[in-house]
Amino acid sequence: MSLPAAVMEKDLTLRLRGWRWAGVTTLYAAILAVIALAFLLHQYSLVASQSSPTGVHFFQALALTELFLIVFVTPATVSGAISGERQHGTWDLLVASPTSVGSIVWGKLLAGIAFNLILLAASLPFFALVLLFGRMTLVEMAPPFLVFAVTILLLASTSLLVSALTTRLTVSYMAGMLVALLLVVGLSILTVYLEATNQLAPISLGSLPFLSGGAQGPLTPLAQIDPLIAVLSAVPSDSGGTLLGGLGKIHHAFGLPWTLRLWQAYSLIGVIISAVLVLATTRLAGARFYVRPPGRAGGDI
Amino acid sequence: MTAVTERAMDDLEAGGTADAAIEVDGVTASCGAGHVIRDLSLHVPRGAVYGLTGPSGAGKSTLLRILATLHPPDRGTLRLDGKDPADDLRGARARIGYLPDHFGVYEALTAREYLEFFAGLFGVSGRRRRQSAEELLELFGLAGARDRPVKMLSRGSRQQLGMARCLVHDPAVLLLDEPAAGMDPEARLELREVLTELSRLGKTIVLSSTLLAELAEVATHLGIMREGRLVADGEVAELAADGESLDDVFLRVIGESSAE
Repeated sequence: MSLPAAVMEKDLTLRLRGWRWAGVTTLYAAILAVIALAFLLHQYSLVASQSSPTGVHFFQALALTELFLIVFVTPATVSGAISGERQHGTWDLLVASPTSVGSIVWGKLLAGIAFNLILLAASLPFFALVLLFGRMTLVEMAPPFLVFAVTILLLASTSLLVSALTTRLTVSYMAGMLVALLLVVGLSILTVYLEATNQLAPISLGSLPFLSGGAQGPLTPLAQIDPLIAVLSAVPSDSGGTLLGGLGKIHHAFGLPWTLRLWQAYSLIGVIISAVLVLATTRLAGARFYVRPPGRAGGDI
Repeated sequence: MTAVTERAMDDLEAGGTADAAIEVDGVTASCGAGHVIRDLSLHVPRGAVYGLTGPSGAGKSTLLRILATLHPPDRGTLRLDGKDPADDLRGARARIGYLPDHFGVYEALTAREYLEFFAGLFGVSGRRRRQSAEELLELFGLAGARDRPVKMLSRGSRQQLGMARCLVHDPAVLLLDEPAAGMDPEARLELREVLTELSRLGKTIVLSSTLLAELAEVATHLGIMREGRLVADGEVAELAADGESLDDVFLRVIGESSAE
């Protein structure tokens, strides 16, 4: 497979040119700024003590906002990657070159991820404010950022697959957004429902890995591909653990004698699922691969 | 040994014929439920300008898509500049410059960036990429628009840019579907000169058009398609042996094929 540099460079040039890029970045940062400002105003009107868990609460608010920004922005920026080329009549021009469909797909994925990682980087100053309040360290802030990065990868791969399945931009945007919402909100609702009704058996993956431990009992396997639950398992709580409490650990993960945190399992599984999705996208996008047809027809058909 | 001779030698070693740049044998292709190309065979000599014409829906664009390796045939064989796409798809594609009848552009890129991007896709290295883009912008009279976003170019200029794109990797075979569409008379004249010059340089050109007057100016060979079949094929001089115009040849051939 040739390097996807040309496609990636072109896609990034198109994304970063014009007012749209500046507008998206400004809006992205502005939403986080509003959350930060609202939080600070609220906290300072109620609590003046630096010993309070203000920093932790501030981080929780920013982390959840960041996740929802990723859920909306990543599909919006990647879902049209292939369908847009088809709709605008440029896909055939790409495919008719010696560059493989795999390279084109990888180039588009990397450009989409790079764009969203730049947005993630733009949010770092707001997260840095958390350090002013104490109680939070850089090491504690790292796992949620890994979850953000994996979520960007997962949603970008999903959106790219959606893009390969559709030919109209509007359809792919809507479908990409719907899939992302189902992945984040839908899975969380399902998890909460299954936890509440204790119906874990029907969807359990048997002896495979996903047995969560803790006083609360096992967690549904689906929770491990849920970005929201992964963030909750990575964000510290003010009482010392994580927002997911004892449910955030997986004993005998992948059938091995080790204990993983849920965000670690999510990150591993997310990368694997993304790789599979990219392979599927390559197959679908190049569905009309040139293959050797049978020899000369004997006569008219 | 010249590049053309080398290609001919490669061609012979690969089992093709040295004098044919395009060899299509017994190709049948479908689109949806019906067959749009039916048992079509075609040999285009190296350096020929092959004019492909026919009524709307005859299968001209589909045939060009098959030659561009974008539409796999259901049956039959195909060799492009000595390469069988089924054996060496990348090698075959590297030898083709394809201009579809309707194509999009990246409107936010400048004309130069557009050409450099496609040169990169075709594996042209960094410095040569820029040089090639500049040369082609000059050739097609777009030098003044090199740093202008493509969205600011007229339809005719975009078509010229599309033609320039076909040439960024110096292909041996050009497949042009209605290349003069949207061009003003002056640009058409320039295109004609460019095609003649490319033919003189040894490029093989397949040119689809419904404008017979346009084909008459540049084509050395002519193919007339009807309902997915090639109903006439040969040198222009042979097909119009009795001093017929191409219009007359077209009407006669279509009339004869209808009677069958």
